Amino acid sequence: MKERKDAQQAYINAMNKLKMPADIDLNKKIIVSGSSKVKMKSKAFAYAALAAMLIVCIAVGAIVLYNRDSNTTPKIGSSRDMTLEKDQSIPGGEITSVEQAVAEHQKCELLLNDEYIKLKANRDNISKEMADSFYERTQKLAERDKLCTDYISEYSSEKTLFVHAIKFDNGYIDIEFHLDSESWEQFDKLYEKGYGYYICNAKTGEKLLRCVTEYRASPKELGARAQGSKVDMSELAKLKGKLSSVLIGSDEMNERVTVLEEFEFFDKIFIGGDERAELKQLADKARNGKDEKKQSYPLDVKLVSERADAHGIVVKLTAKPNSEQGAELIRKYGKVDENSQCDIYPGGERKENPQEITVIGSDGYCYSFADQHHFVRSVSTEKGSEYIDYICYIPLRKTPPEDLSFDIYLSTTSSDITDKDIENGITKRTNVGKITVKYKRNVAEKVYIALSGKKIYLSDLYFTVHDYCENGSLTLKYSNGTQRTVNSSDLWLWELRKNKEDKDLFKQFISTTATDDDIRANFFKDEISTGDVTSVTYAGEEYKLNADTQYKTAQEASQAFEQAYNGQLEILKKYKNESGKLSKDTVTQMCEQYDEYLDTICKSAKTAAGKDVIVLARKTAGSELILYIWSDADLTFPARANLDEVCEICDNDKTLFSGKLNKVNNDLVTYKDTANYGRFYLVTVDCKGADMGQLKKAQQYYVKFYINNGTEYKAPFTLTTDQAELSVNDRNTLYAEMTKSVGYKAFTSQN
Amino acid sequence: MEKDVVGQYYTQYADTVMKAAWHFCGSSHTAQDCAQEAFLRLLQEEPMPDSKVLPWLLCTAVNLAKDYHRRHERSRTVALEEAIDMPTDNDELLAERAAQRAMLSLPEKYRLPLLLNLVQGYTIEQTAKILGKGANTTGSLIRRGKNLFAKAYEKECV
Repeated sequence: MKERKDAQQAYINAMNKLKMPADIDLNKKIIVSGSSKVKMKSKAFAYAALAAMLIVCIAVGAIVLYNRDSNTTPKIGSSRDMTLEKDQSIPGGEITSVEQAVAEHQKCELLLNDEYIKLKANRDNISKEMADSFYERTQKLAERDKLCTDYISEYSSEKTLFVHAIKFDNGYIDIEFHLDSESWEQFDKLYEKGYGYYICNAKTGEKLLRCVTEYRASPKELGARAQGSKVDMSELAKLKGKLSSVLIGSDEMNERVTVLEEFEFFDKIFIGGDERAELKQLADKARNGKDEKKQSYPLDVKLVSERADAHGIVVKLTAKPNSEQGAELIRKYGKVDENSQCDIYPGGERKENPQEITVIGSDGYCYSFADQHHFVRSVSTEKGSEYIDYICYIPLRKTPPEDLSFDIYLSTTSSDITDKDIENGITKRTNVGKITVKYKRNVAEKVYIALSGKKIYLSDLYFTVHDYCENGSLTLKYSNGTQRTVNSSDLWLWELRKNKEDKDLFKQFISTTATDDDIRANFFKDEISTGDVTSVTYAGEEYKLNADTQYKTAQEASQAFEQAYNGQLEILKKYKNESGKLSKDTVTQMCEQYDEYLDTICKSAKTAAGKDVIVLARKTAGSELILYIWSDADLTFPARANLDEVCEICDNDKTLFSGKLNKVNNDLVTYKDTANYGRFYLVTVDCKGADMGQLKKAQQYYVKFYINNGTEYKAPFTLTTDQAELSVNDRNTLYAEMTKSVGYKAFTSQN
Repeated sequence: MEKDVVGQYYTQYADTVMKAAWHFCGSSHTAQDCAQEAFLRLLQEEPMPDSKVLPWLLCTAVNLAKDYHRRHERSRTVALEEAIDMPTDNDELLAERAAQRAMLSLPEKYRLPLLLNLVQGYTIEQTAKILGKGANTTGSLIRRGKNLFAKAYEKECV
């Protein structure tokens, strides 16, 4: 309890140090903005605003066009684009209407994209003239675009529904929804229930892509973005030129819920953000002159240590000034805030102008371009001894060839650069230091293990497996019968954990960047995706690997269910037998354990194939079969009067018994959060007349229910348990007592 | 909404809203941005009952923070301050950092209830009202959240 209080106190103390700056003046902000337009404080949110404006803008455009000819869907990027392509002049003059602003904004977007396409076509040989022209035009386009989006933001009213899609040539598509409140609520509710949204062929309804991410900006600001899983271009090609639609539906039930809107993709390849940054960097390089030897850096960057593999580079480096200019840079922009959280960006003021790192391979390819990979270990701004210590993790965008060197540039992108800075050679994007790192091929494999049926997350895994790897006893078995031992030397990421800085770096890297999907995708990526690795053995025990789900089949989930059911039973029995002797803490712990068991069941079931119904069958004395059922489908068993032939018990394809349900307790135990976890039911099947001997011999049982207006639910189960147990009523009563005694309430018994 | 009115709300709720945003982005600076942005958006809203203002602000700021976090997840970047562990001998500070990391490691559903209950001192009923959830659900979230938090904190301190 003391530890718990300490934890809470530390948390409260930390939170009490978080304060909003007192100098934010809302009135001033509004005056500064000159309108009701939001003035963004950070670069990130400025981008967010631009994105939101883009949605609004194109929405307005689409609807305006739609209204011009109400019989057609707006055709973004078709004939109008052709017109735009012919006219390469940058718009100018006064903006007098939203329509004009929308049209100009679209034109700016397309022209800007054209500029990047030109660069891309000449990426190996960008001349200074070309780079200068690029710089000039993109500056003008950006300025004009901002005027347009500002105008739209200020004068357009909220629209109701819009879908806008752009395809990027790196295999992604971005879709942005703009919904009214009602549509959004509907969308939200369905999504919470586990439905996904898809891009479909509007005519045939064929699902082409499942979208995986979404965002919303505020309860009322109606934006959503879906970024499709990375797909090959042939899939995207299916979309080209066809009218597409977005629908919400579910994979499992093949259910089509609602079509949100029909749309067409931009009939144009768009250069994505990362590639734009990379191209811009190349253009800057061309503008600054290609002879790097002539380029001087105000900071000397010294490499302390590095590790590189196919996925990324970890570098530790120290940056020291080699001139007063560099020292001034550190003194000016280096700072540590009052919480001693490092806040050093030599590239400029932290929030708006993070320093960037660019990694150029000796093959000329830009392997990474990122602005926030810094882990500053220490900084000194003291005059005469200025320095910055970094440790950085830089993920690479593609696997480099062997024997490659990387030039790593530290750059600044500050927009707050002063005239004096510019005089000193610091411009908006200036390389301030450079190191070279040699790439050594190494296999940074990651393991995804299901230990005893329990998923181990990346962070746990590294803690766990690293220990074993230090003993060199992690062995992988493959489906072809071969096996391989993984040593810690193969796993540099694991080694990272050996000292404190690395440990923190690594932990932070995991906690902030790795999602479950990443983990699944990356852990033994190739082998798992092809099903090659079947198990991992260490410390003499073999653990099955399971790449996608905790339990692959409903049968497995059913077994887990039984395990958990027995676990609960043990808890309740213990409580029944020893209730007088147990401390409050022990009972609380038991309640939580009970809770966790249930959680395990539900999560297992949800991820299992055929998750509609999970059955735990328990044969009792006589000829009754008790089926304890969990489902996240909305099951409503029929009333007693209509129970005939609603249940079949089968062995493989053979029906062993077709009987009626004797008793049904609908909604027996309801987990509080029913939207996520489903419900439990108790069904008793009267097996009179069934050949119990034959039932006992059967191997692969499943039960079919015909309920909910004839819907067939099929669920496997085991018929092996035949032990004394508490009745369901006893269980509920005991649980109610147990929770009541400690004021714990997680479930509701509605029996 | 009138500026003066928003100003009053700002005085009243700014810290709470900023702290809530922090729980979803882990960066004090970003949280400040999100909170500020939420208040600026409030200015553009129609007047609403007092009781709805805080929930609205929390929802907006949290969504902004989540958006920020998601964008950075996608681009596989790490915010600076999340990764920082400047050397210090100050035990109290170390404990606070551990608590921060522990809190950020909790599933999202627990974070706001814990903030409102533990730090802001709202009762379970008040917290439930703000979050638009049932009192039982909220109580359960807080209780389980506290336990998970204690475990996570212990792990961080090792």
